[in-house]
Amino acid sequence: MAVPLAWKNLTADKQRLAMSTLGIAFAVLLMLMQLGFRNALVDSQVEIARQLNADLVMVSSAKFQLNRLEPFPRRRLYQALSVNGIVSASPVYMELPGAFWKNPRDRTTHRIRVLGVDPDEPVFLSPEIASQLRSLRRPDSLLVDARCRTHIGRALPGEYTELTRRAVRIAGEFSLGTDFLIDGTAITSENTFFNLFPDYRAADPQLSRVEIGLLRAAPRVALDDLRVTLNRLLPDDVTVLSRDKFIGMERDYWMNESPVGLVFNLGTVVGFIVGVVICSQILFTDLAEKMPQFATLKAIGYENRYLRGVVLRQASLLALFGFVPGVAVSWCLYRAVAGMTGLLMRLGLELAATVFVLTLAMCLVSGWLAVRKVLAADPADVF
Amino acid sequence: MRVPLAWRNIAHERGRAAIGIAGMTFAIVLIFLQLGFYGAIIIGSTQVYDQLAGDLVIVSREYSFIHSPRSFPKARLQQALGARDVLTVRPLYIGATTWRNPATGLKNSVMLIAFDPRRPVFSTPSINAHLTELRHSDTVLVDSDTREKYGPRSAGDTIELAGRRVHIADQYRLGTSFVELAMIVLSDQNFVRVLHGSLDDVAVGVIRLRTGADPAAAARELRSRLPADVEVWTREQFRAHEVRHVLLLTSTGMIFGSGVLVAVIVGMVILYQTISTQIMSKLSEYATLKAIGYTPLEIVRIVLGQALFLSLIAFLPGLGLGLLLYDGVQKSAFLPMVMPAGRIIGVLLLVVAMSIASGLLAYRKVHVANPADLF
Repeated sequence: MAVPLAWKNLTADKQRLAMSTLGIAFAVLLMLMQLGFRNALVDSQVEIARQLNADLVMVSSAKFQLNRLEPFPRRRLYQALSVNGIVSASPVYMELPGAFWKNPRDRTTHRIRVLGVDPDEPVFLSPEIASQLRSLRRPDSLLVDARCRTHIGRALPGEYTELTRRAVRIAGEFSLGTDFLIDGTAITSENTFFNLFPDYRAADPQLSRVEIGLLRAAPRVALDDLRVTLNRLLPDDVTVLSRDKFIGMERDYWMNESPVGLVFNLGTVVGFIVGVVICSQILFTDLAEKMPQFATLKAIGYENRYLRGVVLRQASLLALFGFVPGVAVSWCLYRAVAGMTGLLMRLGLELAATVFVLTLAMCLVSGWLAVRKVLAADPADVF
Repeated sequence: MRVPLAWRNIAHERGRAAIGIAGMTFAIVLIFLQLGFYGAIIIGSTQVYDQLAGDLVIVSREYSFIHSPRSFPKARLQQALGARDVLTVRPLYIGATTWRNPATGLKNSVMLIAFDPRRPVFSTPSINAHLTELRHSDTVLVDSDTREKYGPRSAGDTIELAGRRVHIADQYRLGTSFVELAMIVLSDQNFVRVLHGSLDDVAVGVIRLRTGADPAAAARELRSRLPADVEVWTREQFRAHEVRHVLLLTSTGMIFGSGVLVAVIVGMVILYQTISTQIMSKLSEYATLKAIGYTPLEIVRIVLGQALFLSLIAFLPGLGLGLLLYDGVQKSAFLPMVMPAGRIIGVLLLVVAMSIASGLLAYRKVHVANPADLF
């Protein structure tokens, strides 16, 4: 007999189902928000690194964090070019502590991050930035982040403002976002960068102070071998990393060293426990009421295994019911937070899958707790 | 007949009540936890400045917050000395550099706070006890909240700051932050040695006034006396500026703000859901009470009694667990998690209000229940 008992139990009382769905949905929302905040803070830190077009990345061996400047001499990039398999090496210059942006609206100044690149080289992966790089050939022009923090003042293309007391023209916008330390990012050409921050230019161009070197390899070259070769040949003041390692180092720092990981993981755990309790409560109430039915099933010969199956299926359905509206509401909240803060709130497949597994686990644990009562039911007692 | 029905309703089915109470407890823990994080951000934003021994501060007009102070010319301090009520004006320098663990070679960033040890600016005893040692060259104090990964950081250890070997005289405690995981206090002379900066670029000028002087009036006088490249603030204005900056203009503040909002909403929904489930499970008993002649008022009293009992029983373990979590987070993440009395009262009021509201909502069901239908 194929009566979908779990389904019928769950949908028998529509009003209770709505309440139960609401409870689970809130637990889902809670976990998604906490993990979303955590990922947003971590992802936002590495977003600029993810946008760079490189097979291998060269940084000073003193560099330990993306936004802590540790420049190296440009000569190292020329040296890397001499290695077989490397087809191009582009410098990225970066300034942070000394880059002051004047808000074009209220004339206040704010610290931003400025990147200097060669506008003729494919430095960025983002088509939005890549397609506008050529406009930077005109001196004193900038591309600015449209998702900068609102208080630093977004300047629109064509407008003029000041960067470190020099008049600059906004040539275009791109979409990047902010993080813990950075309220906004501007991209400019190498030449404009040197005019803004002369400290980075040396009389001998070989000694200009580069922050990040982007190395691109010929097709079908074994990148790991190439990296080992480069690290052997180049002096100790620089180190060559795979792109993943470069991004991973930054992620690890924020996830494991700073309090970010702990704080939001703790929030997620509390959300999970709240979910287990809500779900148990729903199932307990429901099963208590259906006790006569379950006892009858037992009396007519159904085994415990069957009854357990029904309850666990019911719990899984509940997880599914709560998950969908939970994700829907979270999606709206993600958009709102992203709009407010400029952080990257991504509701990706991986995160959704993680939270779905957590939700399912939450409901199954509660189902397991609740089913014991059913199994203990003695048909003779119930009537 | 004086049967304590509200209590008996709970005590009757202990298992079910226990689950309900556990749910409410964790909802309360959730609210406390998020409020704790939010509070830690606020406390963390001012913990260094709170220890300044001064009545007014001078900062650059372009001052943003402690991690991006901008500097102003030291000459402004001399100019400020001319004001009537000003007793002393002392410079505070703020910077950041690289801390190298000489044992492992690992590098991390560290925040530097500097002043002239002959003219101390902090009222912290653990700093002021070492003023003589701070005058030695390449000697520093390290915040005791500095993370373990920085390596040796006790009195007598040697570390490298921006490639320069310095000696740790002792530890002090002001507290580190969400972003800066290490902090060092040193003399202005050593600060210049490490950063190759100039003593002419001051981050904060700390002003002490003569006893009895009115800080607000003195600040007004200084503002009119000093050029427009600096701001003069009272302690309260300075605090308010830092808190406002971190809450409204940093992502951390906004994230924890929305964290609190979500926790309160979810917490309230869970409280409501639990209380109404608990009351609904006794619907037939309530209907019986109606049938045997209880007035609506008496039933409301029982329903509300049950709701209040449940929430008060849940509140105490919620508070206890909350305090335990605060302690754990404080110890492992070095965030200043404290539980002010106002927060306890506020959350308690929220819980009581929510339980009354949920009780009343649930009572409507009881009210329309027809005893004849239920059996």
